Amino acid sequence: MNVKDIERIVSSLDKIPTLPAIYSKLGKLLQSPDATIAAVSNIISEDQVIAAKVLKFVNSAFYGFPQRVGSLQRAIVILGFNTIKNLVFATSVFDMFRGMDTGGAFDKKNFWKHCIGSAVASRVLAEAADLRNPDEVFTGGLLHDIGKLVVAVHYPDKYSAVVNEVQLTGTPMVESERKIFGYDHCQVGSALAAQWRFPADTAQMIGAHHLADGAVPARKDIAAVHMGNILSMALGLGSGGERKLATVNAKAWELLGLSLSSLELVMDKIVKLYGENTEILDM
Amino acid sequence: MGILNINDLKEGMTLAADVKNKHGNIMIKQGMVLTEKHIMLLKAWGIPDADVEGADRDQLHQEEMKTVSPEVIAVIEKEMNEIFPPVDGNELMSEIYRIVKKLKIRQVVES
Repeated sequence: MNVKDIERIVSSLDKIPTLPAIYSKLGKLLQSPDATIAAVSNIISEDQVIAAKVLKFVNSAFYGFPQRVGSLQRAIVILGFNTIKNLVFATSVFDMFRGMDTGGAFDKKNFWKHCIGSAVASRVLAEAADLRNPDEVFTGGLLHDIGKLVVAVHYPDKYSAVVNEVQLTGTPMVESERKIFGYDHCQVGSALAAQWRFPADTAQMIGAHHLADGAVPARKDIAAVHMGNILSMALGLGSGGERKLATVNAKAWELLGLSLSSLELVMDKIVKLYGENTEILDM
Repeated sequence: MGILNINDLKEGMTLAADVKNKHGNIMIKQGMVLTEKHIMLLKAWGIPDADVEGADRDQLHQEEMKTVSPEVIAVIEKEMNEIFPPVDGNELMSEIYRIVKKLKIRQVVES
């Protein structure tokens, strides 16, 4: 099955929500010369739930500001337009699938935990490796498995068969998905990213996070999400349904350029930040 | 000498090499005997490790394991072996395995 086939399948699915208007408005504004702090703040304020979440996030352990950031305008000054856009994006995607039934064997609660765990882990790795866009990597980590959710929402019984086979035999999920559906969650995630017009970087983090043996990651952010996914699972932060841990791709590790002796500090930080941040994104 | 993780540094250890930040600036000179304050500063600077005289990571890791009963370690290892692929010969996966094991042991000790 090629990319076009998958995109056709995904666009025919009827339960995929549309991104909230605030996100596309924000995107348009940020590309125009009228993007002032006040204008951005006005758009976000239209959605009080998202506005509250942005503030919660700014005040989270990630940023560790000594004083509480009380206003959206101040949050925008501190974080910058891009990070704010990412935050709005991440929180709205998270909200959209809430309340949808995935049925059967797919454990949605543990899945969300896995998403948050991977997001936190990817971000910590991105910071340790000095990447310029840790917040984008966070979003990539948060959404890397979104394809699983999309398929589980539409075909709960068939997807339960995947989950059960994986739990029984330890087969990697992508293999079981390809056998039962003819495509895997990375492909669906990529197609969804195209449909929703995700930023290209985010789309690639979703589509390429698995990095089969010997594959070479195209960029450091993909390497960070790839490894963040595996570390979050190794640390038992939720579960994406996989039974066996994948081996970290050697090229991805090399590309990140971290030392083996720094890994303990990285993993300590992941555990600590995960503990402090599950409430912030309140599942 | 041996490279130690920042968490394993103790007061009284002697630096076997200059501690540099990621820009290559020397933060603490070789030969300095570490104090509690140095260690606090290194953490605040986000420096992950330091080269210390007479330190041996493997030995240190083995000593950590001695604080917990072998039965508990066996249970933790069994749980982990269900999930982990074989890690032999893979330096990175072995290190991830070791750290996860250490964190799990710490959880048991604290609970």
